[in-house]
Amino acid sequence: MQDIDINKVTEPYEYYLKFIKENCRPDNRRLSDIRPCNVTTNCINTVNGSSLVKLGSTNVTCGINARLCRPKEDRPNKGYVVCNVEVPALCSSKNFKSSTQSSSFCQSSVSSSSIEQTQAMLSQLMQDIITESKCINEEELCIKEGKLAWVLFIDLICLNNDGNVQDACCVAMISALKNLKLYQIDFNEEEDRPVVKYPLEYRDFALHSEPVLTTLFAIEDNILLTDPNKQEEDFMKTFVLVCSVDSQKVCLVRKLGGFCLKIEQLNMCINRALDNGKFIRENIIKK
Amino acid sequence: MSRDLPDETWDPLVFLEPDCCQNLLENRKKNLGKNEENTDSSQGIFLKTDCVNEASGSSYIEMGNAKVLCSVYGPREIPRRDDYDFKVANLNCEFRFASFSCFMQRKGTLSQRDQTLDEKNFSSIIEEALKPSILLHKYPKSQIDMYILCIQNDIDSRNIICASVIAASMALANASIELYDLVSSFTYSPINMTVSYMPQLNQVTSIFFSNESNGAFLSTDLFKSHIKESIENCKKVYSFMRHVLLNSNFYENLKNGLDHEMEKTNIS
Repeated sequence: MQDIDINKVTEPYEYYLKFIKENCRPDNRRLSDIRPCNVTTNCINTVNGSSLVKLGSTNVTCGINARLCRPKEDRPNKGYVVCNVEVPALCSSKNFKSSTQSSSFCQSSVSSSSIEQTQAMLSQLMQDIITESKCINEEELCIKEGKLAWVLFIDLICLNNDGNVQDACCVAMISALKNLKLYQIDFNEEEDRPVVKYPLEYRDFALHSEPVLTTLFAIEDNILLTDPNKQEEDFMKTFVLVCSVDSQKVCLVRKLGGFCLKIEQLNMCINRALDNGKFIRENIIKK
Repeated sequence: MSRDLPDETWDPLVFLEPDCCQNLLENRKKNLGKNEENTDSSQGIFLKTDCVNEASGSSYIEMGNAKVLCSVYGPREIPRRDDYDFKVANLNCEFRFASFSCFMQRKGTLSQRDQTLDEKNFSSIIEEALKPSILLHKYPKSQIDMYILCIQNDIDSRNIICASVIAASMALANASIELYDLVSSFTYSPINMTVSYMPQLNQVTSIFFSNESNGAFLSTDLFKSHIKESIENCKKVYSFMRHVLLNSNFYENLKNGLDHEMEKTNIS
């Protein structure tokens, strides 16, 4: 028993591979399992919609601020959705040891070397998920054509980074959107100003689909695993992001660099992502 | 294309009629006040350590409506620079509001914007409150970083300093940094005075009091009695902090991050 513990510290990768050979992982998961995930919604009372997601010990909190704006002339009947992901210095010591990073595969990875890079990539990924999955109809965010529309500021903050922030972000974003409450607002034509009804009335916000992002990664011998934690992110040779909208459709696939994967393996990725998406949609994202 | 932003945005509530607005504010205060009754004893506080894996020490606190997460990194080595005192550790405290933490949205994102004035002000208040408790001379040539993130602000942010001081002190203890004592803190709400206090040494590390809230000046006698009362309350908070630290094994079983159901309060 003791020599295993020593190996864990000195040869973490070999220690890890021992488990993989037996088709399981050190934290008692099978290769295709995600970590226990749970969602708390409406946890912040200063915003219109909020959620807190725990995926293993990765914590992501999401707050949605709904504000009004005048839509731009090239898109008079559309509102805006602005996603932003923060991985603050609070949750990672990375910004301090940036020069000593020596991971072989970090150029295009989600765990890339600089924290600004990670943040920009995650923000763009979330924005892409919103656009590609068409879960928000931007025309429904318009209150008066050319005059008034909603802007949804979706702010995601990673509170504890234990790997796979992107999946947790996606779940947080969708469950916060599901609980989003917008005020009932009319537009007064004569005075050219919005009218907010008082006492405040809320209108429901229609979410047209529920995209679920699944991260799969490959290590040596191209074994595919789901939901990497922090340690596994260091081991992985390549990763695939698959975003499914329902049990049949996929809206976004990303594979950025790293090892090559066979076509069969990519198919397997997509199948696993569909299964995982179904599981998360049915069990975790609740109204 | 995706970063195509409108030039100007407004909070929908600015379009309310003025009297409605007043009404709304009062309602909000009433709603938030519901669970505020308990803040003067240790009952109204939720406190937890070990919630950020990568940090040397971390803690999370809920106090009234304030929700604050704090993590401590260090002591870590710093490259030689002329403007630092190398005989003692360099304490660096960064307090930030999350962009969704206040009723009025904060412009820009954490990484894009600099600390605003009030954040800088809070940072220095918290830093000054904690500095006397740390054995800084034990860590020469090194730096201790404290990052404090406010996830949800209290209605008039009076609890924030108090909550942050407690959280930061717990995080420092959790990071096994040598301390003279834990710093406990209490906000005496009628006059909006925050007292930070080390019970074992019977020393007050900082008092933050500004008279702006009600305009009337305080007599010294009254002020003394307020401080006395605050210190009594600090002691209560302190015993709770000790309890949490000593029983952190209990929390270890629940180590999955922030483990509890957050209270649900609606806006408006």
